[in-house]
Amino acid sequence: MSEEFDKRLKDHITDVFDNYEGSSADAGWALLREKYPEKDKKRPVAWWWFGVAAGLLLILGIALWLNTGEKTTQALKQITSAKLPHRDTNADRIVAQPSPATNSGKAVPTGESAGATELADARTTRQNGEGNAARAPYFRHRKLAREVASSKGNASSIDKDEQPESLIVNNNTSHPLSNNDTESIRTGMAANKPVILAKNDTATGIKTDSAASLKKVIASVDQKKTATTGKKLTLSVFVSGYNSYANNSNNNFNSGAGVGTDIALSKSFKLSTGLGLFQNKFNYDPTSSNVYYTAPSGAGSGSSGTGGVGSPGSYSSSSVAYYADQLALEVPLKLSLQVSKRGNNIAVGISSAIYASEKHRQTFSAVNLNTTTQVSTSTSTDVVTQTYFSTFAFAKSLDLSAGFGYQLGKNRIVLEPFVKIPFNSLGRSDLRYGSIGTSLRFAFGAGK
Amino acid sequence: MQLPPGITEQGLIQQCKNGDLKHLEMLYKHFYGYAMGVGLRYSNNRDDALEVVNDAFIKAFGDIKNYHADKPFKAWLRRIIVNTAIDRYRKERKYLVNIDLDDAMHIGYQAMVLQQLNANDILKLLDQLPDAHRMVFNLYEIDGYDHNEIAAMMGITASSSRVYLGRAKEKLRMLLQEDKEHERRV
Repeated sequence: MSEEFDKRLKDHITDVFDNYEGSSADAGWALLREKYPEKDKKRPVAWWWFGVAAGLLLILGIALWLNTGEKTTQALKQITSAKLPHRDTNADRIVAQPSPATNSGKAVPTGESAGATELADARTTRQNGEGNAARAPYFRHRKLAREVASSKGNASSIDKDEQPESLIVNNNTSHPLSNNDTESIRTGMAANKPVILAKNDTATGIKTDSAASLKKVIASVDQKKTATTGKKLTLSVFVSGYNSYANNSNNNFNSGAGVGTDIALSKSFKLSTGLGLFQNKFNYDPTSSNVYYTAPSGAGSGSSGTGGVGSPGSYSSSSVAYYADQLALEVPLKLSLQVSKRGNNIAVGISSAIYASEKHRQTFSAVNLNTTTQVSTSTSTDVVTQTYFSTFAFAKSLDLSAGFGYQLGKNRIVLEPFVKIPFNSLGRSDLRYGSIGTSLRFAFGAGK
Repeated sequence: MQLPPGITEQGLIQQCKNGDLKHLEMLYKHFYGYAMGVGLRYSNNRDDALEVVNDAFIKAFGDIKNYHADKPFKAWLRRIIVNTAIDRYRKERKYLVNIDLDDAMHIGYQAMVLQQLNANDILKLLDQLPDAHRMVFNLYEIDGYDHNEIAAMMGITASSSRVYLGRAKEKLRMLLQEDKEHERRV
């Protein structure tokens, strides 16, 4: 009884609504026209802003990077020129050769009070060979010598056979060495090494060939050099491989690549940003119990042309597969804590993204069996939607990463496991997904 | 809306594949009634139904190039409308309030003979059902989905789908019976 009633009710509802006459088609069309065709009035503007910002960031990064490199060269030149007395202007310079006393272990005092002995020695030196004083001094530190030679463009001016244990420090008042340097040299002098003093110098006009002090000088120079060249901005390129996961979707391996930049905020903290292109693909298995989309049973069974669904004498089953493919331009902004000089770090930040491409495909498959004729038909239909630059998501995800650095010459390779936790649903179709994976980053000039 | 003389459905669809707005409008208005008939069954009011229908048409316009003429256009369009409605239901489910049918008011119309129920009467009946029950009833009884498919679509279990359907039908019968008795008394 009730079954018959249900059937009558169902048939009546089907009949009523299959022949439903809408009276407001014009109003409906007007409403639809507000959405279709999709108007991209604001999106190009947003995209242009985004592009300009990314471009400026890159240009700024490159400029800073190049500028930092130039400063490094200039600083090096300044240091080396300070080491190298000018041949024509040091006529007043008095060079003291190592005296037997100093060689025998007595410390040589510095300053004007001790000048008499050294002045005498210096006269001796000048008498013994003007050429020695006129020639460029020998730098035991060959690297420094090469730098001097290259900076002066006169490698031949360095005589490797002369004064093998001496270093001349200019007495220029604009001497770049600090009091600390002077102190280190003085300390070195206490080790009874030959010392050459320059005239009119009370603080920094010191020449020494002490190995220890020389090392300290060089270390001091290197320290200055490092301080000068310590890059505030490092460029890098990276590739990423990761697994993306969305609710009810199959896990998919995806990849991405991009450029990045690290801006040093302090000794320990860096601000990292960049621009990356990341792909996220998702497959929703129709056999899953939580498939988002499915197809009506017998959707294709209307071979009679009536669209009769579930009509007596027919059996149908259908399934649908859902597939999403998103290509996102991401701008991460992370704060990283440097935990070692090798580049090991931990970082936390956010990522914003504009979706360059979003493709969604629903594949409907239906098998219809006409129980009367025992003829089965199968149909498959794809519904594809694709949009470009239609969605921008600010702070779409929380990014956590750890970096493990390896020196590679002047550069550095950093292995970065990461996890991205979504703040909200993402993209045009509001998929909520996260990812976990690893990046391999090549940082230019980030090595020691 | 009737098509102008000399234009067939298939001819119109073919024109729409070129993206011509004039033909798309003609297609929209031609199938508007049918589409609203489907959309209304899945929506709580006419505005929601229109939104579902328009979203479905936008999807259909975007994918009409992939439509094959060997299948009925109505079935293809209905599939899109139903999926759009289910999408909307899933998104708004957390905001929906399921009312218990026992607390619902009676329909109160006079046309108690089943065959005399018009679209508005049916919609009033369906409106008395909780949204989940209404969805399951539409999907299973009218659009021919099975319980596994409904479970997958709505994120519920197949057994829940069966329970919802049973309750929906029972309540519909009860509503109609009560109103029929009310008519006799009057």
